[in-house]
Amino acid sequence: MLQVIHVLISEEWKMSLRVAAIAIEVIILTAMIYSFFLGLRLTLSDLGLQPKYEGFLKLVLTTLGIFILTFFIAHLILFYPGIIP
Amino acid sequence: MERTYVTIEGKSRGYYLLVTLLGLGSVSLLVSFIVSYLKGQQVWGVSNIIPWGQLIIFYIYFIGLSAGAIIISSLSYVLKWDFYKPITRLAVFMGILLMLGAMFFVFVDLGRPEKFWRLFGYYFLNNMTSMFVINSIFYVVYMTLMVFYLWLIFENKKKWAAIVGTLDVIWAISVHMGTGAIFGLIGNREIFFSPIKPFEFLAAALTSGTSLIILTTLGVFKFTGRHIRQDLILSLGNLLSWLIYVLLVLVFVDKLTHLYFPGREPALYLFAGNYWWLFWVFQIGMGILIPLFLLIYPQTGRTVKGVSFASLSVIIGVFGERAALVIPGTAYPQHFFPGFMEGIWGKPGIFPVTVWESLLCLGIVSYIALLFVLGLKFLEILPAQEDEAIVAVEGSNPLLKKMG
Repeated sequence: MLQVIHVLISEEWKMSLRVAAIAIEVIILTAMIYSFFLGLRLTLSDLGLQPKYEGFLKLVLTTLGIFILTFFIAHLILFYPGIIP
Repeated sequence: MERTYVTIEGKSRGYYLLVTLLGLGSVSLLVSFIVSYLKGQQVWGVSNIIPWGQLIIFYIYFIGLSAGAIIISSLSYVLKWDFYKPITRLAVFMGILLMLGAMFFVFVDLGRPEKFWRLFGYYFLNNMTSMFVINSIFYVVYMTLMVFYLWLIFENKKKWAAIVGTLDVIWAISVHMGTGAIFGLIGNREIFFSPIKPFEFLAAALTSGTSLIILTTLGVFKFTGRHIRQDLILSLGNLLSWLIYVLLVLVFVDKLTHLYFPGREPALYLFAGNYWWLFWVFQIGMGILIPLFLLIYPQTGRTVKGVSFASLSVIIGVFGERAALVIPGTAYPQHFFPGFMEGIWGKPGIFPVTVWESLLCLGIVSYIALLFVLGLKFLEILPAQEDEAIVAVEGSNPLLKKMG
């Protein structure tokens, strides 16, 4: 069965599928990081963090999120398995 | 008189331009990181011969700057010299950011940063004789203490700020001496190996930290239209000259010991090998002799301009000192069984400066600078302009009094 799929789907298609899968993975990870950092911000606010620190905290978390996403993109490009084994 | 601290407006064209430039610099970090991750460390200048490169040079440099900034911040909250209060928040904030930068450098240098947690995986059950493990504990506690210290200062809890500040200063000294010990305790690298190394690191940290505080204070106060007392800068310049004397003595004793020892070839390589210029031009010239001359010569030492040039020279010179330690220190081959089994091919290594490694460093420096510039807009770090004008005619300079 797998051999048939390999014959039917060209190498370009396999590559495109892999890129699409990585893109979906990155979107899911973005949502997760956003939720995690939002939760962190809200927790800190609940614990009594004053509003005057919020702007800077938001900034730090945003840039940190960008770095983490960049890492995920690099990691997925390097290690994400092929879509069809 | 109680000072008030404010955020800057951050709406000028110059501010936006600076943020854009630093933002672009930070983007270079993302791009160079992806390239380094995909292609591996072969795109850097490091090799089997010289395993530590630009990132490690910046890492130890930033740790030193951070420790120096925190120690300088203690002048007002720990030693209660109110004279230095206008720069305290700035110094602590810089201490945190510089330490964050140092962690970025070492994090990226791992090559596979996702494995960083393994250093902390077992915490005190790790190999506690490893300087890397000891330092990882130092760093985590240091970061926590600094953030807590700055928060106490922001909340104007002076008594607690003094207690945590004292602890933080002691910790900062340990952090930087610990980093020096990473090098000083490597017995088979003769240029590194020295019991004086932790103290030399500390003295270099203090000189570079003080210099950076001087230059940043001058720059920030000037560009935000604030008044800065000239005697505050001159007093820091005076302190800087004493710190450079201490550094000079430590470097002299360290190198003299290495020369006295019969196996003095590595020391001779440092002085006259491929990288002689790192030692003589940067470490000795720009890090010690030029600033010392500028600071003790009355016509330059008693002017803000002279102190600024001396500070700039120290900042470049101490960076050269870090490079003069890391590159020649690892470039010199290790003679396991002389004439029989020699380090890697028995020849000194050459360290190429590569684009991606340089871009990574530039990116991290830009990112830290960006956080600093944006921090001025979001956090109450700078004293209010009108306060500074009033306080300018008050207070005395405790350092100049004590040092004559």
